[in-house]
Amino acid sequence: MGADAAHGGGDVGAFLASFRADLVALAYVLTGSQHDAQDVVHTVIVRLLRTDFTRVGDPRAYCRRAVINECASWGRRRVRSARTVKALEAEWNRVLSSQPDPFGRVEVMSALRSLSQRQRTAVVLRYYLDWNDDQIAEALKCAPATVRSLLSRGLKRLRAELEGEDRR
Amino acid sequence: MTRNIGTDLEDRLRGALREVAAHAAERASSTASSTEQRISAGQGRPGASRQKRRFVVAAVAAAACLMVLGPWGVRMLADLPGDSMSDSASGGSASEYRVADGYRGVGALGLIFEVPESWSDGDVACDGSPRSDTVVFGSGALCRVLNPPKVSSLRILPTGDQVAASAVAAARASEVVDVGGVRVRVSPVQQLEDGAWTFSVLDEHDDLGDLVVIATSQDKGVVDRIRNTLREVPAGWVVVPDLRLATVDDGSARLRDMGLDVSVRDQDAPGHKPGSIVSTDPLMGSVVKHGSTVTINRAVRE
Repeated sequence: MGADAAHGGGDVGAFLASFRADLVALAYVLTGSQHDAQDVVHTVIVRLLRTDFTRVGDPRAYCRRAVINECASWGRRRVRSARTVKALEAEWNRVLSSQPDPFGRVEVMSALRSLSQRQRTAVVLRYYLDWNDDQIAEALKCAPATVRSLLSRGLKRLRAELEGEDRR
Repeated sequence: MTRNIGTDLEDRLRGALREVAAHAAERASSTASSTEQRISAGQGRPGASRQKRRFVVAAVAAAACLMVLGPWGVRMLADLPGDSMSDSASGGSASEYRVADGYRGVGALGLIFEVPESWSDGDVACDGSPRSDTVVFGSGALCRVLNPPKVSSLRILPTGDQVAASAVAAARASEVVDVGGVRVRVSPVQQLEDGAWTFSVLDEHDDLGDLVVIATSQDKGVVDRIRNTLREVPAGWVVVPDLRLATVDDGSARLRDMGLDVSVRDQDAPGHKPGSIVSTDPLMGSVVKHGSTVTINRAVRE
């Protein structure tokens, strides 16, 4: 059961259920919050249940784009105040710091939050999903050149943040 | 691909993102079984834990609503038939949980907090501080009030709220206690610098997105009473969630998921987007019996 089932008009519910964890993971790296991620995916899945997947070329990509879009609107709806960021940091630190951390993921995720929504989305799509400029541009509804600019500025900012972390 | 930055950073990004994503997927999978059953069944709507999370999310963002709802909401409350703890016999549409005479129950964290019946709902200044003796869901500071009045309050706030930091810390430092099967951390009653007395309650598994309940008063007796009358929400009773940021369809579905009947009433609501939920009757936080009818007040014009 999976994309083929959904694509062939089979059991959409089973496909979405099997793909849910992947979607939560994507939403997680985009929002930085397990709760937000699960809410985003829940919202998306409810909507996708009404989708005619026979008209969708790539159901997995379609679902991922739906999550990306929902994360963007989620970010706009929720005013992320400093106190929320603090709480998110506390969550990351508590959950992740107890495990081996060869990549410095706590610092990386903290640095990611310093980026704008679009920069963060571009970085995540490039380095988590390995999407190319054209794919990211399609998801963000912008030109590939804009994607390159977002990535360049995002990485520059990330490097500065991480170097600052390392110095601390 | 543009490579004007060290590949070590790119490798680090890839590694970190995949690790946290794997972690998120693992956590999602651990809670997936019931959700998947619902999705597979075409329901797509998880149960109580989902409702709690959505309720919490709504509470976090409640500031703007409180600001808009404030004066109008208070006026609307005054317009409701009967008092805030009314049952079907006295004009309300839901059977609400009865506590001691002169008091009403406010549900949060699976517990019932008894507060004086005279306390208002959501009467806050722009910084989220209570203006009168009141019950507050969410603070959402949008300004600063230099000399907040010394009033009593029961505030239900997200644990990440800055104004809740000391209360959260106090509760976290307290032992877990079992209140009728509900395991929570309840801080002792302590005196603040301004002389007010307070105590706070956190869920045992205090996690991001959870709520902290803070009772505060200049009168220690008021705080002591709230603390001493804490009890669990009994089986067969549920707490009306905060639906102010939900759509009418979503809000109705959530209430039905909780075993409640729903009616929708259109109201003029200046400042509210037509079609949005202005409030519920009974109000959020009310403890009502399964099968009760909760009325969603829907804005019909701005």
